[in-house]
Amino acid sequence: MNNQEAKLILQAYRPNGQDASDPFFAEALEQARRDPDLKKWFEEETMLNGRIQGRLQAAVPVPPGLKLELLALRKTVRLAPWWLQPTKLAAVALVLVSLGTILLLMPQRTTQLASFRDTMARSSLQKQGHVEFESHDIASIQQWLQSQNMQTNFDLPATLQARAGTAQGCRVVDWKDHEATMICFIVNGEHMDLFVMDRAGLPDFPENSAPQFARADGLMTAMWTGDGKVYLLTGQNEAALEKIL
Amino acid sequence: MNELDYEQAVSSLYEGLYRFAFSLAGTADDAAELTQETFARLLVKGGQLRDHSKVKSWLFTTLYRIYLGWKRRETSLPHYEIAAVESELPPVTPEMADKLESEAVSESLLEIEERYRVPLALFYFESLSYAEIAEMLDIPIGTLMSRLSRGKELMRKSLAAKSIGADRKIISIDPSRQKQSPHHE
Repeated sequence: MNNQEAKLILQAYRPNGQDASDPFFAEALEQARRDPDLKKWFEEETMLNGRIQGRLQAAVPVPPGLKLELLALRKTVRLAPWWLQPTKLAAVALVLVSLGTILLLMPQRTTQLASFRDTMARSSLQKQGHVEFESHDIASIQQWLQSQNMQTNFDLPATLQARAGTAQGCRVVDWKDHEATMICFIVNGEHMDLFVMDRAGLPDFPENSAPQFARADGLMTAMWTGDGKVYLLTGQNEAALEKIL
Repeated sequence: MNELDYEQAVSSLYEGLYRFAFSLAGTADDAAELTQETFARLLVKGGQLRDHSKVKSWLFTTLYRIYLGWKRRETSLPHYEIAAVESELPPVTPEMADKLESEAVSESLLEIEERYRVPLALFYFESLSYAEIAEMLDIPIGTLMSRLSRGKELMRKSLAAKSIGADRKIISIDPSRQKQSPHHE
């Protein structure tokens, strides 16, 4: 290795010493130790790099609030939907295939799902008494639901969570021996109702299932499960629902 | 990625990421947005990172890719070589010179063509290994060394150009010149 080659390597040697143990620099460093001219050049180069580095760090101040904003992302960024996670997707695909087989053999279960879907769609279309409690404040809605002995430990889809202020109110909808929570939203002018029911009411609907779209009473519905709950979202069309999901 | 891992990643890496983002985008707002987008992706996809020792290089690579995505979406990016705008520069006043002192170095970095600027920024701002930088930029280490060398050369030329002029304050980054110059304490 001649000095020119050694310089090309040593110019990449960082002033904070982090490259000291990198074998990539070993031979060039050794040469700098032996050759006085190269050593002098290397010392000056390192000093200059250190000064430029100091200037650059001072010249690009990090905004003081940035760290808090980054930490706050945990509250606003939702984890990837499980249906975008390959391992879970594969597991769900397996479940769906199994379910498909079961459904073929047991049409009775399909009827249960259809019944739930139809009831919720009719509730969504109901104009009189559409909501029992009117509020744009999701916390107030939760409080009211709790006062009705309804569970509120469910997750809103991320888009609805981000636009919680578009909530219009809520009510409790009866279906067979079970009760479902309905929260009404108007998102970008689109009326949507989210229904949440304990999955015990529809035990045959697979856990952690992907949204299944189906029409009911002229509305489009998307139905899925997660964390022991059955979710059903109503809207005018599939595209509107996909924006939310 | 759990809450603690995320908090540790933010605490230890956000400053370096922000500075790298600034060296790419050139403005504080864009740098902050790039940094936020990068950490948002860590929250969403961090669970897929099996080797937590790779979080750092993953974040830098992700930020760089987001930036490239931005660039692709833009119809054009204004980019000026020093020589092209030199004649348009106003005379440097003492007030401007004071400012130049604090900003000249970052300006010089931003003026450099991107393929040289990225290795240079990573050289000055962060402690990724050269193997990691080469992988991130998808170039051999030899090419990386050449670009780094060329980037440093361009930056020093730019700094020298900024320090020319009797009433301009010389940027005291060169120790040998610092001793000779009466402008410096």
